Amino acid sequence: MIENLNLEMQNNCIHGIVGLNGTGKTTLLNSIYGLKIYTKGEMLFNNEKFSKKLISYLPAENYFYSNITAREYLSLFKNKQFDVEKWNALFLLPLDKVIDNYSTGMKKKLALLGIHKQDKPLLILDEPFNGLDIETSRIIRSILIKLKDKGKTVVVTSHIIETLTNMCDYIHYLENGRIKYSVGKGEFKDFESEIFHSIESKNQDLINELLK
Amino acid sequence: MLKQIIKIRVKQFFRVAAEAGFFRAVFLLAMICFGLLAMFLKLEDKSYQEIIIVVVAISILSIHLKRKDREFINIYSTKPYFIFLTEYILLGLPLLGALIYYGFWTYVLYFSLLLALIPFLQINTRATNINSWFQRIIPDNNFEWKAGIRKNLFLFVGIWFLGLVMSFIIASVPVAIFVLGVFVLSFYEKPEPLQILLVNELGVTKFILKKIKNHLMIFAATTTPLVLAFLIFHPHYYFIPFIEMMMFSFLIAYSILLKYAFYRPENSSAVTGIFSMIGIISVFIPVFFPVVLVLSVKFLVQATNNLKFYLNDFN
Repeated sequence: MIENLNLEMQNNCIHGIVGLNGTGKTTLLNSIYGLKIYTKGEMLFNNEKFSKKLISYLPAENYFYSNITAREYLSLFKNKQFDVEKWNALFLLPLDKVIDNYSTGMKKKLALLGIHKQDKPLLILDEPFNGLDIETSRIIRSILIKLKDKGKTVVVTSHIIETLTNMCDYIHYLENGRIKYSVGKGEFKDFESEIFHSIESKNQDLINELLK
Repeated sequence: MLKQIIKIRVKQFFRVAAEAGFFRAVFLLAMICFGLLAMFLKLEDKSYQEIIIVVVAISILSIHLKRKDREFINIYSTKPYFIFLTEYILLGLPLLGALIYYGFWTYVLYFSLLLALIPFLQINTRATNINSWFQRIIPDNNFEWKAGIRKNLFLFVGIWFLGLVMSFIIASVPVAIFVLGVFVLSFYEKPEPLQILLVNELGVTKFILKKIKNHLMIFAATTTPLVLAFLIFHPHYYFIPFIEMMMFSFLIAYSILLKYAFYRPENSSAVTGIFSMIGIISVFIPVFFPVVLVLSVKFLVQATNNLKFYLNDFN
């Protein structure tokens, strides 16, 4: 559950949201996208209520309609400027095969292509690097940085801090449904070592006891 | 393991009833009882006996082929065949009981043999990659048709051509429209992911109207050549394919409203399956048709309210 959460994010930046499992990362993203109803407070984007018109959302788990091909899926998103073949040169997906037979990583790549084709000003990506190989992860990183340069705002979650520190402008640490602190690029190193130190020291006694 | 599986099934049954709500659950139960009673009475008529047995056997076979827990049961149970067989005997029990009641012992034997054979079938229902010209001419937004036809391409196209080529025989076109119509109704069983629902960026009313309009148009485009061929050979019976087309068009609208009345992204509702079955039954037992009419109005209101949560930003 999220309570007393206060978070301000700057436009045209990549924001990382970090937290342990169950701290409320997905709940926060679902609330921003309008898939969770919040009972108190408000969320604004450019001083207006969040609208699905402005957001592309990549959920952590990607579901697709059965028995349609990747090309058919992508053709549902209307964007004439988007060249599917050119974009797919990055991911090498078999676009004319049905998605049901895709691997987890391939499904993630396809979902990401769909997100890019929507071309919205705000991108919310829940664990976009899960299930992807090193090459694709680097490609996604480069794409997100380029999109930021083109004026998009990106919010991305991960439970692996390293994937965020080399890409984000800000990282927000979520703990028990609240933002514990937010740090800018210059503070990432201290933030990382502090987080790792706190997690390790919290569990060290128990590990020592279990493995004595 | 059998005990555990039956326990799970009972729990699933109550979960579905809870999801449907008390009044709807009672209504559904009444409908099922009515359907069973109709089947029981029709069994007396010799011309229906074999049809009923085949329809029930095919329904159980399709459950076996479509079920997602087949692999789970095969891996974790020492006697998977026994579990499948027990479940299918329970499902076929009303028909078996009726056949025994009437003393149709040959049919009892045939049906029991079919039930015993079904668990042996381990057909891999891996999705097919067929990309025919037929899918390419279907508009992008009619993804349900693209998916449904890919799944049953040869059967669908085969029945269509057979209906057309044999249209000089009076029954061929009505039967073809009937089978194709039942196929099409099954296209709307699964909900689409949220990304696909939002893709048109339309408010609820516009979305529902556009959806129904698109699907009725594609159904009309598919069946019109068959109707025209029928009219050439049997102009005096022009009303038969028209009534059929109207009925199936209405059932398509019903299926679409039903899908969105219970829509949850990526989550098939068991209740939807039962109401969808009522729609299909209404084709066989016309008494159900007025029920479907009333339900359609109810589902229109329910779908509008349900989709507001997802589409309110586009109003």
